[in-house]
Amino acid sequence: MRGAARRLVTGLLALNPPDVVRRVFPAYCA
Amino acid sequence: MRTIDATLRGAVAGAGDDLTLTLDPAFQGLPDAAHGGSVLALFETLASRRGARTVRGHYLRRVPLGVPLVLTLTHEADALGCRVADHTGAVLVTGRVGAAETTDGKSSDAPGADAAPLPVSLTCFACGIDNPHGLRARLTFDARAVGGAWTPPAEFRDHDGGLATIALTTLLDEAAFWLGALASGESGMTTELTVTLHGDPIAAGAIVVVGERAATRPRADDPRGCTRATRRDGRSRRPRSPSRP
Repeated sequence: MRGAARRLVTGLLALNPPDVVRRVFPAYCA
Repeated sequence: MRTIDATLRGAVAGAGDDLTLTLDPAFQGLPDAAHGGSVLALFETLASRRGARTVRGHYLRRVPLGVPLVLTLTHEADALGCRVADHTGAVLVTGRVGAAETTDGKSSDAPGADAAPLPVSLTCFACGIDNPHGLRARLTFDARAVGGAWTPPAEFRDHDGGLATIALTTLLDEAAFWLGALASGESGMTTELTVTLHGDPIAAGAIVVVGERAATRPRADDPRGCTRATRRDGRSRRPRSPSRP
């Protein structure tokens, strides 16, 4: 389901370097 | 110090086969939901079965934390059936603990030294940096695998040197989540978990969890994907879709 990770990624970006999150969820870290 | 096993057992109230389950918020996976590994470990704990055994969980809906749920046990000839429902009667999870279904002991190496870190979260039971009762696991990945080593703290050990099963089910669920996330670029709730324990877990040194990325493949009935994680000694877990950090 596209969009499922949106809420999760928002939280992850507050804790992790953007590159770390982008490697897994590239569509949410443009 | 209260062990994590005691916290998990403390989630169950009542007697007989019709029980009330209220999961501690420490067992969070995705926001506002229980970690699939914690629910599976609860089933395993309720079965009180020793030696080789297989634990299955089929997750139909999100399992909320801190909310009284209806837990029903069913005794089969050589297995224990478990069902969790909400106050409306809607079934959230079904599970089964029985004899070991596989003797597969295939193992593989953890990601290499140049592996990239996977994200951590705030309160996840597996990777949450602000969950005082969680594993605080740090997993990595490279082109071949997802995984990492985790050393159990005292809270995850019992007085006989045993390791709380929830550590294994959670590490496997977590690794499988990231396998699915890397394959799909998305996240999702665990729908199926199957873990085979080849014996009673022992807390002796670091636990290495590994999931081969090449084993991640789509399922015909689910467009999101399928992941599989295998511990060094062969314990495995197969979600229909990825689960959580």
